[in-house]
Amino acid sequence: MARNDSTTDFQLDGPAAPLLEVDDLRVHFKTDKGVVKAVDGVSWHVEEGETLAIVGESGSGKSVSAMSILGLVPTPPATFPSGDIRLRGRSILKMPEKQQRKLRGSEIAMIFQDPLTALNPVFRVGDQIAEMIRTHQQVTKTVARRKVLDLLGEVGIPNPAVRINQYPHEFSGGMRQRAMIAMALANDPKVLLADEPTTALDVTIQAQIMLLLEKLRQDRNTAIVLITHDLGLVASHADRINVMYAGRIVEAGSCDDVFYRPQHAYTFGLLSSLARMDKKRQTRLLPIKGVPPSLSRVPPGCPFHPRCRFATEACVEAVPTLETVKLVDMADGGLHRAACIHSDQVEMAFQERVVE
Amino acid sequence: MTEPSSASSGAGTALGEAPVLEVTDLVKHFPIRGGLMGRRPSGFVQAVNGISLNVGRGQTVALVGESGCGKSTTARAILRLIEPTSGSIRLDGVDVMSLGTGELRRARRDMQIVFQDPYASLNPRMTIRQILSEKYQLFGSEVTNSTISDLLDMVGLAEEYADRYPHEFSGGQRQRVGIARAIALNPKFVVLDEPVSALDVSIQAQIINLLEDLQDELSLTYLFIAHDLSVVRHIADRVAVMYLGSVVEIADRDDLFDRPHHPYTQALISAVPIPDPRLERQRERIVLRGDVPNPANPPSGCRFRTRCWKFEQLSETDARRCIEEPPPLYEVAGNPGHGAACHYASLRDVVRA
Amino acid sequence: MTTPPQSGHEPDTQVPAQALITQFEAPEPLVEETTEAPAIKGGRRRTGQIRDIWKRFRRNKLAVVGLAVVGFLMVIAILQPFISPYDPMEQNLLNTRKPPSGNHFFGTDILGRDMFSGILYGVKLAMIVGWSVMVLSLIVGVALGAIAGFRGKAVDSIIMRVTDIVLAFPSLIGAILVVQIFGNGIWQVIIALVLLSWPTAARLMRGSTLSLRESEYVEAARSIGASDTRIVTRHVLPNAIAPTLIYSFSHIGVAIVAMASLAFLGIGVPADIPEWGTMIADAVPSLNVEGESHMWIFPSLAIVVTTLAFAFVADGLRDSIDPKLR
Ligand SMILES: Nc1ncnc2c1ncn2[C@@H]1O[C@H](COP(=O)(O)OP(=O)(O)OP(=O)(O)O)[C@@H](O)[C@H]1O
Ligand SMILES: Nc1ncnc2c1ncn2[C@@H]1O[C@H](COP(=O)(O)OP(=O)(O)OP(=O)(O)O)[C@@H](O)[C@H]1O
Ligand code: SF4
Ligand SMILES: [Mg+2]
Ligand SMILES: [Mg+2]
Repeated sequence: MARNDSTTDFQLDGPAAPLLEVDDLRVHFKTDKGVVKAVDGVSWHVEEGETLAIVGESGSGKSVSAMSILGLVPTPPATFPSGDIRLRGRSILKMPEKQQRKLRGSEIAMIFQDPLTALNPVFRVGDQIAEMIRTHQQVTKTVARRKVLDLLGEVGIPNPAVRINQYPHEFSGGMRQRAMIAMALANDPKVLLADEPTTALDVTIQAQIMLLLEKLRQDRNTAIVLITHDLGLVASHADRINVMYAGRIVEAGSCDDVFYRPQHAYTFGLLSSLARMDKKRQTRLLPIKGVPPSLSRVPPGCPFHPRCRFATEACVEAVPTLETVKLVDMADGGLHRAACIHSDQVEMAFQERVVE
Repeated sequence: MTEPSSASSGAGTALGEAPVLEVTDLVKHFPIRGGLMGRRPSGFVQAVNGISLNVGRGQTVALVGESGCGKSTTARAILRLIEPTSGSIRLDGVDVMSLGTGELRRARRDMQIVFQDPYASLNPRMTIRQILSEKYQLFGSEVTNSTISDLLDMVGLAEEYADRYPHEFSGGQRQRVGIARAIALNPKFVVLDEPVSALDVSIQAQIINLLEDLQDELSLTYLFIAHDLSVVRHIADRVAVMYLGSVVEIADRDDLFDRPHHPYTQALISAVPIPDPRLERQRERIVLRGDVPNPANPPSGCRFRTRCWKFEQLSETDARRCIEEPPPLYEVAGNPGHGAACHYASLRDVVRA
Repeated sequence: MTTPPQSGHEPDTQVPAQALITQFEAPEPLVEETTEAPAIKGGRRRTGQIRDIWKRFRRNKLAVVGLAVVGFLMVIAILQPFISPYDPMEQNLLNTRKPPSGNHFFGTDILGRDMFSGILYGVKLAMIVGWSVMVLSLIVGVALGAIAGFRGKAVDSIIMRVTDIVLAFPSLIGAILVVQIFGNGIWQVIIALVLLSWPTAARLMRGSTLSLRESEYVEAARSIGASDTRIVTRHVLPNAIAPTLIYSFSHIGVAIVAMASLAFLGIGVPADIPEWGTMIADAVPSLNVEGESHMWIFPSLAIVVTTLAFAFVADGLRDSIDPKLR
C-alpha cells in the first residue's frame, strides 16, 4: 500500500507502520459498583482511504475506544491498564500533553452523533471553524475565513457566505452535522473518527451525509473509522468491519466476509435478527435472547455465552481469543478473525438460513 | 394514473368487512403564538393536513416518513390525545370526534397507544403492578391475583418483576411493560408509535416478534408508526408514506416496496441501506437535496417539489403544474388500492437497483 | 458463491441440547443495573428507592454531620422543658452579664437570665418556626404551583403575576410590613415568612409540573382514561415535588435567620421571649466589653450551627433524592 508520509509531522517507524493503530487497548472505569471494563483488549488499524466500521450494541465500548484516541476520556474515573495507540508508528499515549493536543483536530478529527457537543451555541459557526484552523495553523483571520467558506461549500452547505455568520441553532440538524464535518476537516486530518454520524438524522439526510463522507474519502484519501450500530450503513460503506461485544472485538474481517460468512455467534445473531427491506415478509425474525451484559459484570468465558444459541460448557471456561478463520473460498482473502470456539457451527447454521 | 381517486386512500381492507378505524380528512394545525402575551396566533404549524386512512380488523397499517412529517401528531389526533382541528374519526362505527369528556375516557378502553421512549412512558414512582393495575381500576375491572401475572406472562416477563420499579428494567423490558399496559382489557385498536426505535438492534427483533404474536393471539389492529422502512416491510400489511403532513403514497406493503410510484417514496426507499454489501454496491441512491421545509410555511402546489428529483427534470410547462396544483392521490398501477399524490407518478425500482 | 444473509424461521433443531440455553425468547433476565441507570442497585421493594437515596446521601459526609446536628437540635427542642436548668425567662438583676461558670454554663444576660436555658429555648423556637414555615410554604406553593402548571391559561397567569409581585418586594421589608400589620408574635412571624417564601416554591412546582404535563407517562395515563385529578395527584405531584421539597427544606435555615434578624430589630418575636436575635441585640452594648463576649458568641454560634446544618442536609438531599436534578 502506498503511503503518503511527506505531510506528516512524524517519522515512519518502519515501512509496516499503519496510519492509525490501536494495540491491545484497555479502558476501565472505576465506579462504586466495581470496575467497568468499557474497552478490554481491543486492537485494530486503519489505512489511508479506507473505511473501517466498528459495529456493536449500545454500551459495547465503541465510543470509549474512539474517544481515548483523542484523549477525550476523563481520567479519573478512566484508567488505561494496557494498550497503545500509534499514528504512523508514533505512540500517541506516550506523547507529551502538548503534542497530543496538537494532534487532535489536525491529524485525527472526530465527528459525533450530536453536533451540539462539538459546536458551541454562543459562537458563530464560521468563527468556531476559523478558530479551529488558527489553533493549528499560522494563518491570518482573513485566510482562515476564506478557508472556512471553502469548507462550508465543500460539505454542501448552501449559501456559505450567509451561513458563516449564523449560530448553530439557526442550522437544521443535517446542516449542523455538515458544519461539524467542516470543522473536523478544517486541518485536513488523515483520520476521521465518525461516531454515529447519522444516527440522529433522517434517512434522506443520512444519504446526503454518507455521500459527503464517501466523497471526502476519495478526494482527500482520508481514513474513516465509522462507528455505528446500523448494519445497513456498514454494508454500503465499510471496507472492513470490527464487531464489538462487551468491550471486546469478537469478529473482524472484510465487509463481504463478515456479511456472507459470519463466524461469531453474535454476528450471526445480529444478521438474523434484522428485518430486511428487500425481502418479502419473513415468517419470523430470529432475535438474540436476553440483554447485553453490564460491563462491570461481564460473564466469564465468552461474554456472549448467556445469550448464545451455540454455547456449550467449553464457552464458559475460557475467554475465546480472536483467531484467524481458515477457510478456502474467502471473499477477498483478507484477514478474517473471530473469537468463537463454535465458528464452524455458526458458519453452517448461517449457510442453512441463507439457503432456506 | 389520471383519475384522482380519493376512494383509493382507504381501500385495501378485507372485502365486505367494515374497517375498524376510518379516518377522513384529518387536520391538525398548531397555532404559533408570537410575542409575550400573544393571544392571537401569528400562524399555524400545519402538522397534519387532511389525512384519510382505513385500518381493517387484524390489520397493520404503517405510517412512515421523516422526522416532523406529522406521524405522531396523526396518531395522537386519532386517539384524541390532542384535539384535531377537523376531520372525522370512526372507531368500529363510533364517531370518536363527537364523544364528550366522560365518554371519551370510557372509549379509551378500545384505543390504546405504545410510546416510543420506554424510559419516559412509565411513571418512575410506580411499580409495574401499580402501572398495570391502574387501567383495570380506571375501567372498573377487577384485578385478581392472576390478572397481572397473566398479563406479564403474555409479554414475556416473569411475574416476580411485578413489584419492581421501571428503573430496574432494561429498555426492552420496559417496552414490554408499555405493551402490556396497552393490550390489557383487549383494545380494538392499538397505535404503536415507533415502539422499537429506541431499542438496541438485538432487542428490536424480540419486540417485533412479540407484537406479531400478540396480534395473532388477540386479533389486534395496529397503526404502526416508524421511520425504519425495513421494520415496516416486515410487519405491515399496508403502508402510508407521509411528507409534510400529507400522505403522498399509500399501498399494500409489497406494492409499495416493489412498485413505488411517488418520487419521494422512491427516494426514501433508495436511501435505506440494506445489510447486504453486494446488493448495496449495485444499488443507485436517489439523494434528495436540502431539508424538509418548515411546516408552518409549506411550498405551494406539491409540497415535495422543493426537494423533488423528478421536478428538476421536468420541462417548464410540466413543472408549473407541480407549483400551482396540489396533486391529489391518483390511482396508480391500475390498482385501486394503490394511490400516489404526484402529477407525474411512475414506477421506479429502488430496492434492488 | 454465497447468497446474502436472510432472516427467516429457524427450526428448533438448531439449538444444541444444553443446560445453559434457556428456551428461546424466554424473558430477558432482569438487569440488576442497566447501563443507563446511574448508581442504583439492590432496590427490590417499595423501600428500595428510599434506601438508594440514603445510600447516596451517606456518601456526603457534611450532609451526614448536618443531619446529626439537625437530629440533635430536634431532640433538644422536644426535651427543652425537662433539660433546661433554669426557667429561661426568670430574671435575676443581681447576677447580670456573668461569664460562663459551673452554675451558668453559658453565663447570664443583661437581665441575669441563664443564657444556657435561653439558648435551649431558642432551639425550640427555631425548630417550631423553621419547620412550620417549611411545611406551610410547601403546602401553599405546591398546591398553587401545580394548579398553575397543570391548568395553564388564565389561572396560571394570575398565580404567576401574584408571585411576581411578592418576589419583587425586598423580603425583609416585606416581613417587617406584615408583622406590623398583624402585630408581634410567633405565629405572626411564621405567617409573614410563609407569605414571602411560597412564591418560589410555587414557581419551582409550576416549572416541574409544566415539563411533566408534557411527559410521555402523563400522556400514557391520559391514554388509559385517567381523569385530570388523578393525573395530577398520582402522576404529576409525586414526580414534580422533589425540587420544591428540597427548596423548602433549604429554606428552613433562611427562615430561622430571618426570624433572628427581625428579632434583632425588635420586630416579631416579643422581646421578653429568649430568642437568638434578641439575645444578640441585647449584647450589642457589650460587644467590646471584656468578659461579656459570651453574650453574643453563644447565640451567634447557635444561629450559625443551625443554619449550616440545615444547609448541609439540603445539599445532600439535592444530590441524593434525584441525581438527575443536578
Ligand atoms: N465516564 C464514565 N464512567 C463510567 N463508565 C463509563 C464512562 N463512560 C463510558 N462508560 C461506560 O463504558 C461503556 C462503553 O460505553 P460507550 O459509550 O463506549 O458505548 P458505545 O458502544 O459507544 O454505546 P452507544 O452505542 O450507546 O454509543 C458503557 O457501559 C458506559 O456505561
Ligand atoms: N404541541 C405542538 N405545538 C406546535 N407544533 C407541534 C406540536 N407537536 C408537534 N408539532 C409540530 O408538528 C410537526 C409534526 O410533528 P410530529 O411529532 O407529528 O412528527 P413525527 O412525524 O412524529 O416526527 P418524529 O419522527 O420526529 O417523531 C412538527 O413540525 C412539529 O414541530
Ligand atoms: S407532483 Fe411534481 S413536484 Fe410533486 S412529486 Fe410529483 S413531480 Fe415531484
Ligand atoms: Mg457511542
Ligand atoms: Mg413522532
